[in-house]
Amino acid sequence: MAHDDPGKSPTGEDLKQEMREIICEITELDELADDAEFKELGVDSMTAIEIVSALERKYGIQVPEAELIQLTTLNKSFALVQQKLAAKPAA
Amino acid sequence: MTRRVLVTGMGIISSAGHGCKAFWESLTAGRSAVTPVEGFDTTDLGRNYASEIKDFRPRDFLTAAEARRTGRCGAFTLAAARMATVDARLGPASVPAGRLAVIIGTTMGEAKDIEGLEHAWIQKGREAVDAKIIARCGWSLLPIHVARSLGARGALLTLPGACAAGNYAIGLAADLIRTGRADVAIAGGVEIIQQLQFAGFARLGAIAPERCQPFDKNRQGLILGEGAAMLVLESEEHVIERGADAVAEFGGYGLACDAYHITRPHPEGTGTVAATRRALAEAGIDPHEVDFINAHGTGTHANDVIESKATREVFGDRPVPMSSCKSMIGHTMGASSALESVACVLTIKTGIYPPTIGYEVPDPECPVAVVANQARKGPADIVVNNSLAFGGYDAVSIFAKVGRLPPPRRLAA
Amino acid sequence: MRPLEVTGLGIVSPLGVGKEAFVEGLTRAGQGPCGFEGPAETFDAAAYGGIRAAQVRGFDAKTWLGDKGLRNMDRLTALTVVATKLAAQDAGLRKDGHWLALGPDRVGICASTAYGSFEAITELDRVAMLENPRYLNPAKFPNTVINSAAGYASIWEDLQALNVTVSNGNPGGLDAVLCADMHFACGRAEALLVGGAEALSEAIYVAFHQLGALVPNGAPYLPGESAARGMLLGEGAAFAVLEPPGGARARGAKAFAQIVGYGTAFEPPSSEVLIIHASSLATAQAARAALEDASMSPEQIDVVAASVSGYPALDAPELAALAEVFGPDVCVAAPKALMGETLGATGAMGMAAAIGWLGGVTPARIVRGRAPRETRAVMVVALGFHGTASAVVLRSCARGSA
Repeated sequence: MAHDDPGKSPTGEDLKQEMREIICEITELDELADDAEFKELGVDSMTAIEIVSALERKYGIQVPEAELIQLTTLNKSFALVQQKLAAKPAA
Repeated sequence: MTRRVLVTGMGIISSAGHGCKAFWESLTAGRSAVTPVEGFDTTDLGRNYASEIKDFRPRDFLTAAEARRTGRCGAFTLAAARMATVDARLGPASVPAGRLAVIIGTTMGEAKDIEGLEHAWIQKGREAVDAKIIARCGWSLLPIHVARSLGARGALLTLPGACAAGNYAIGLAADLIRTGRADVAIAGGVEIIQQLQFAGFARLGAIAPERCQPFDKNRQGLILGEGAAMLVLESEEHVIERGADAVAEFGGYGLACDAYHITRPHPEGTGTVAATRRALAEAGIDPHEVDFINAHGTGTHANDVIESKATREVFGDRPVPMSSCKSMIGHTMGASSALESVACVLTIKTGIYPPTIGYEVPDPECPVAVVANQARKGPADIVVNNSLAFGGYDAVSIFAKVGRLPPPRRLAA
Repeated sequence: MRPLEVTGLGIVSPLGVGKEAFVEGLTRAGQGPCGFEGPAETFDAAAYGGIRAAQVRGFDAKTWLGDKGLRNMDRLTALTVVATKLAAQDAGLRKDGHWLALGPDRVGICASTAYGSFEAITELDRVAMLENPRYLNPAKFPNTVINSAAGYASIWEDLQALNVTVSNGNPGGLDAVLCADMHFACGRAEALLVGGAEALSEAIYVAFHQLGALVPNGAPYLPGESAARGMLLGEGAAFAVLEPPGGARARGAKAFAQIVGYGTAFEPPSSEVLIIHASSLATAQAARAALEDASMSPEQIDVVAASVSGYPALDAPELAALAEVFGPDVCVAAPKALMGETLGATGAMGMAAAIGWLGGVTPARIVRGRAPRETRAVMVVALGFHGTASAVVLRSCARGSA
């Protein structure tokens, strides 16, 4: 399954909700609050890498290593993904 | 029954040169064999350095028929094995074929052939998958290639022990000799670099940008490498009987499994400590007798901290000189502990500790006596070879000057 | 070799999951079709004309392992972890995630798999080739390493003494016994889970199809019989708990069989250009070496669990070798007629069948000779595809003196 056409990616709350579902599936969590710290939810470094990797694939973006430390909560991840999507050249 | 196990020959295919002479000259000169990747596309992976072998021509070592039936991994294996038997002056008449075993450690075997088949299948469909290539892909073929060409008819085994595979293979070969199931064994490890592995390690955040700096405070990860190293192991009686020269004794090994995490080492290094203590016990020596440690030293944050911690736990405050060849030839995965076994034997033979290059800023979290940047001479009667693989497979082995170790421990009846 | 005691068996196979279900399936198999055949389940069989396979139908690791921690577990790992869990439990070593006897430092695993997890390799290759290598799931990368299934078994079952994977083609499951024997002789463990696993994946199916080795759709599956037309791929995992002599008694456990001999041999193909080769000579030599190792004569073997897979070029040399070593009347059974061609698990499945027969089940799917009235000793044979063969001798504890 290739990543979705970026033009069709959801935006705003829909995007955030979709990201929440992706992260919940990976972390095996039933719910995920917007500002809950991943670390405190028991997300280890391997799972964190898996989350980034899944988001990159889903949205066709690249998160450089230096920016990985920003992905500590859903809200922060959402902001970063939005920023990457906005910076993408139009397909 | 129990017998001493001696090393009588070694062969090596490496990014630092083929054959022990070239390999040792390069290592003791502290030369890096790390270069930009040429074998596959690394765009988008954020990493582009490895220790590839760029000058290997199978026909320099193999007959045309041998070259046809082997992939790159099999060719490395056979080339190194042939070199080792020449070095040991082991001919077809030296040992009955049924008493000669071949044990090979690897992780991904003929990974390039498999990749090619998968490409063909995924992109063109199953009819594009070439049966001739399928036939030469099996992991079990690695020792069989050696047995076919060098006349072995004893136990032939492939042991995929992840990044400790070389030590697993050399250790089991020694067991076969000690227990009397074989008189001579060709044993070692082999690995080739391929895109999927590179991408996997890169995406795990394990690969360093340009260089591997084990135990340095600013280390950024490992550098992948490739190669093959084979040892000829032989019972002491057999060495005497055929009038061969032994370069070292294989003293024994220790195994343990962290049973903790599939990529991370146990935070207390419990498996590493256990494997080291078991190896020392098997060789019948105390920690204070060890002269040098050839470290696993991958250059990842976690490995080097835990390995240092375990080293201090076993060896105490005495600074045992320690070095990682991976700073020069990269992490050759399933082959690494075999290449490092060759280095251990050469340390014993020459009294030289190879350096850890790129060691600039000591890390308080790695309080070990690193042989920094330049090779140096030192006592080298007993040398320890660490291999601590992903998945927590720990295999630690011991090499010693011939005649230095006490008689081997009796085996269970 | 010193006799090794079998104190537990864990198995996931088309005949059943767990020792009891397996023994029941093995018994039923003698009384009619066992019904293991059907379209492949782990990939789209319809895309290949409804290809048949001997799968562990409806297998769901959750039944045994619970809900958590299975998300990235591939089928090979699931089969391996469940079988090792059941083995440790059957031997009375562990229960509900806790140790009852011995302990983590003294128990390890020797596992065979011929091809590892091609499911994982193909999944990542597809992402790398069709999308971008950057997008492969790093959490699944460890699954591509061939010994990762045994690694996960160690983590789930807390096996810390040692962890060895043998990837030696079909004989691997028997060669794992050699490894175990070495580690016991050197005092590295007090119990080892010894066996093997193989999972059916689309890549393995495609490879054997391209090699022309598979039984055509619609044709009956007849390993070891003259009308045989090819292999039927299977899957599963079997692990026996082995302990050195006296080990069971020392901890108050009961051994239900012994492994008393091992042999292996190799004969290269006659031509330099050949790679695939089934050797009658190696089979005979391995069988004789195993008998010698067991200090037994051919007459003492009641049943041979052969490696015959339905591929005539492999079956014929094996049966010829067995007739040469044991005479024409020896009882030869074909476990693969019940469980399919399980590749690296062949030896483990053969040993599981042998354990069942030694426990009183009448051997079924006999391709030569007649079933003995009582089974006291079994030889398990496994042929490699490149000229190797290995053999192991098992005998019952009840009557045979050690």
